[in-house]
Amino acid sequence: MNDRSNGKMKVISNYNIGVADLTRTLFSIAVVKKGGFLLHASAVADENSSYVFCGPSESGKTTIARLSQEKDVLTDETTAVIPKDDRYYAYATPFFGELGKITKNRGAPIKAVFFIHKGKDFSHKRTTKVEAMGYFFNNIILRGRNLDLTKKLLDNVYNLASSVPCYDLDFKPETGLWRYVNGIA
Amino acid sequence: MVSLENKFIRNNDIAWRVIDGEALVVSPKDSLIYPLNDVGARIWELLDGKRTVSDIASIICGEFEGDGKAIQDDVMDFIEDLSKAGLVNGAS
Repeated sequence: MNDRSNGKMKVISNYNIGVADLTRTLFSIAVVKKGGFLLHASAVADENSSYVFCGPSESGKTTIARLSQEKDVLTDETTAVIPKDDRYYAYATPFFGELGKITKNRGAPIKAVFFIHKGKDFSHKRTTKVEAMGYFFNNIILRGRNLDLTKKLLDNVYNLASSVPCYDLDFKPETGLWRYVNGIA
Repeated sequence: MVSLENKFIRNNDIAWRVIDGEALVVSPKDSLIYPLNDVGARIWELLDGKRTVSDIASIICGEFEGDGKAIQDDVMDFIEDLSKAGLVNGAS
């Protein structure tokens, strides 16, 4: 049920399972219509900017969130990327991961996006737009895409990849992470 | 099997975009993505259902360096791959 007067939606299900998935899908569609998307990514913010760490399960999203406790961890699992005032913002979402509800409920302009890979040392490379768009598409949360939605996503992803620097990041899980990241962006 | 006289056209159910000379092709049906390099992206753009495979190979020969016969074979193989993936259809 959608109450347009207050912008709220109430979802009623006869089943005990699937409501979380449904809510996430509805949320995801709403974000796409705003020009953004939901991403498998952790996000960490300081006062004026945020950093997005994108990757599939086991890529290190929660590890990076654990190594960022002195900053604001917006999410360790699902980041909402949304354009606002000609910039892209990373926002916390209610869809958290292993760390549980540790998120700061706010957003911040994205300074850089990192496609993360656990490694034995630190290294990085700037991705091309097509490479970045490929990574984004593989990590966007939205099932059952139709053609119109996919075209809209393609536009949204292109706009983000055109306006925010994106990097492949190999990292080792240790406290030197932020020294390395701050040396890049 | 693709022959030089065949014509192919991009599937209407596919989303795609050319970016800086490369391309990203997305199949919504199976959520698969296909990044194409500069040569692949150019061939993709030329698959309009009007040009034959031979026409496309000639254009690629004119725009990129390489042995003509090798380019022709590569264009045929590439279009065959696109066809098997359901990204293009035969055109009359």
